[in-house]
Amino acid sequence: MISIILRTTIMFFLVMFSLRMMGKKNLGEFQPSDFVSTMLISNLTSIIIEAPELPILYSIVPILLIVCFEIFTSIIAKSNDKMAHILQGNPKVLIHNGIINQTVMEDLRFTVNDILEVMRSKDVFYLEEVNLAIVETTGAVSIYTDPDATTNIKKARIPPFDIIVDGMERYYNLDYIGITESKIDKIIERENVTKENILLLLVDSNGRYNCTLKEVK
Amino acid sequence: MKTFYYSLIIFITILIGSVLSDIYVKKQMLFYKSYITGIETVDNSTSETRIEITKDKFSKQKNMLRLFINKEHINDIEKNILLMEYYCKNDEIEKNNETVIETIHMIEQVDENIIF
Repeated sequence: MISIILRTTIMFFLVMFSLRMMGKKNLGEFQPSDFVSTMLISNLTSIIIEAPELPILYSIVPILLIVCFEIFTSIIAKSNDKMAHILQGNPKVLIHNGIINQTVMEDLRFTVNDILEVMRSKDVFYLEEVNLAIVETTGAVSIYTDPDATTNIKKARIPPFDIIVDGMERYYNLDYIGITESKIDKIIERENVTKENILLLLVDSNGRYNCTLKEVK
Repeated sequence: MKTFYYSLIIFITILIGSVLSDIYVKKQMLFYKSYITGIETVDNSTSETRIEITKDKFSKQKNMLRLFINKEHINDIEKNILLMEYYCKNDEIEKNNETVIETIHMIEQVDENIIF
């Protein structure tokens, strides 16, 4: 039993030391390599605590090596832009001037729901408001809203809801904005498209809408 | 940059340490293997002496080896050395041979994980 206590104590301080060496950070700020390192370190720690027959060096050495590699990769990425691109990736523009970049969206496997969720979390409800939305290498999305565009939009009492997403109706949202199905059909008719071709249709309580069509490949 | 140098020192220490520990374990295993191999072909007093030397050396190095080898392997090798000693004293040649083969197999298993 004493051996387990000793092992746990040693591993606790080793992991603390390792994380301090890596200099991190909140979970949301993790680069892919940080995430892999943290996962591996936690796994190695649990193995050695659970298996007292294994020498403690079997965990200490790999953990220290992972920390070293993590530091080396971050230093390489810092000193060489190309390597940084390979190791950490580049930020990507997801929305530009209110238009969703569907290629980037597919590359990053973002769904329309993800985009709407991020916008809402940043208190942005109109797609036209978004001047620039950038997906950072950590996976976080930064949004820049154009102050002029924001003031130009005549905002409704109830902000826009998603009525058609990826060709699928979400008419249950119509109750919130107080608009009928026939009005939506008229919008679709006016745009001269079919529902299946619509990536996102946002409509607010004033009847103002934003229709993004699916890109033809 | 300070962190980089610390990590570089740790990395080099780990590399050198691993090479040294591998060489140490390999040397130990070779020693035990060379003493145990061919025990069945020599006369009883010689084999007893050989087993005695192996046992002494192993009991001295046991704690050090525990740092690098799975405890189960060490316990198995130790148990087999004691068995060989017992069989040798009681002239149980066949059983002794079986234990020798088993011990060599165990040593080879440990050897497999060593690169150097």
